[in-house]
Amino acid sequence: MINREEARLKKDEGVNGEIIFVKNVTKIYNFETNKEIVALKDINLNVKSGEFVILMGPSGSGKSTLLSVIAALTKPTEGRVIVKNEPLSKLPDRFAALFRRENIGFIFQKFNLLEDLSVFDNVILPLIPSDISSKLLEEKAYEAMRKFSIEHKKDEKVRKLSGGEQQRCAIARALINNPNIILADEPTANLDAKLTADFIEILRGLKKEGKTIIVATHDPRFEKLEFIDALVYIQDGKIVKNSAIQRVE
Amino acid sequence: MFLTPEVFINIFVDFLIYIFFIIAFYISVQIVRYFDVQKDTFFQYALERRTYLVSVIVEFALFFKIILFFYFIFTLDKLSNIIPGAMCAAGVITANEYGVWLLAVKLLNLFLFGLWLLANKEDLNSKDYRFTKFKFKFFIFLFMFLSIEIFLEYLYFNSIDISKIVSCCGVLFNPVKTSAVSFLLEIPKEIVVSLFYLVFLLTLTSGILKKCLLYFLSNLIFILLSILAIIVFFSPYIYELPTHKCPFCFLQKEYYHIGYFIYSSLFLGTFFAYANWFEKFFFKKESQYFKISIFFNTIFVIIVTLYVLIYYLKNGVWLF
Repeated sequence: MINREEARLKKDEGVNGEIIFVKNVTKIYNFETNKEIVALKDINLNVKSGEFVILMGPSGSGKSTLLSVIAALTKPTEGRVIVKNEPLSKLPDRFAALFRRENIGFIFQKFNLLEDLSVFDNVILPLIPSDISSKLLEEKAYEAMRKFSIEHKKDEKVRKLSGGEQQRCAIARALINNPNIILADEPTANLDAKLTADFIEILRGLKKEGKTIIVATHDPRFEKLEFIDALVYIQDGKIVKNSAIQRVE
Repeated sequence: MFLTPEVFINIFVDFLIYIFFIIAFYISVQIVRYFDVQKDTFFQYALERRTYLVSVIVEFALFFKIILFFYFIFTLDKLSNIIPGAMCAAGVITANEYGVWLLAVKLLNLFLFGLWLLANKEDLNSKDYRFTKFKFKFFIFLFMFLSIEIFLEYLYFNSIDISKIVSCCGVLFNPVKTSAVSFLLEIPKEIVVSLFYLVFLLTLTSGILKKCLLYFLSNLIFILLSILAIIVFFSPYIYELPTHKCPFCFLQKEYYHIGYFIYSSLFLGTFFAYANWFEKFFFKKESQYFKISIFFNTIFVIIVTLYVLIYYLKNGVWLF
């Protein structure tokens, strides 16, 4: 018997288990002006549920833009993005925001934390617009902070935290809703080797939990990870290589 | 053109709003012609963004138009101090042949604006743009009436001749055949007031039973009957003068501007009755405004009835 959660997950996937479809996506900033910047050119990418995908490429290649388009933080100029069977790029902004809040956790390169707020206040931010009770909100926040070992700093202002602590706070905030999809944009750019290794361990744990993860990075350490499912190379806004890693189960 | 500060504000704000409407109209035509949610082209994405932009512009502009309507009535009232013969807005509105039409179109537009705002709300609450084309088609339809209103407003204010004596409300609402509405005033007030309460009971019953179409139709009759009943029956009690039958004078400060409250409750009550039907007919939604509509209609009836009862309790006579 298929349990309810499995059935729900299946419903959100494509015929081959895809959870994210990027179809012929082009993104041009300042379109139809003399300052046009082509960030993405006719990108096609499918990601299956539970996969861990690395987007590699030099700075300015379009990795961050692709993540932003997948998360509906920006709309494509042309093409379509479908996430969990929802045409995310076609949704009006308020619905896209709602979808993102419930389904996508986004970890930003510079963490985008509110420095004058405490760790606790930062972590609960994504849940404030929802109408869940304050008790449940606190429970979720403590669970997320505990999971990423930042609970002991809950009352500390974010600006007083170290880089690694700030990152764990950012991860806790991104994952407080327990989203199925996690997108990370250059998550280790501001971290030293030890903290990068810690972060990779967190990703490994999330992958084990069945989360779909896309990380945009130019950190070569990610290429060598044994638990990645696909390495996608982007250059000048185009996918130049998409190597799905075959594993013997 | 005859310009007082109030007339200038009316025309200037209306003109500004109309500029926004022209922009919105141009984009609305594009949306109606080219919007296709299945397409993933740049133009389609641009149209999707513009729907939101235009909705916000129109929403704000319509909100100001609703406020401006009450300011327009206030302006008419103020002009009665300048135009010879006029004692209130009634004389001013009949200062030329465009006034009554202008008021009628403004009132009609007020209701249409409200319905458009409802359509906008439905569209913004749907994530697949299913009502977008309808909303903008409706706006194009509304734009025609807005253009007529602007044109009439210009003609009206431009044609006011302050050297010409106009009729005061005492003449206009006199049952002796002197004005276009005199024939209505010949209807016996007992019949008017009986019909008024009967139709109110009909609206109440159909509202409680949630019979959408009947509620809509009965409210259509109710608003017309209410205005007639105000003129022939209720207004003498408000003015405490059997010969004073005017639907405008009680907007003045001598009557504590009670007219704004009376008309607001009447218009809100009937508007939400139309809104019920509009949502059911176009959006296939279960009616949700019965309670609000009944509330405002009842407030209206209570206020006008109280004037009659209080007068009777104070003076011991009916003004028949």
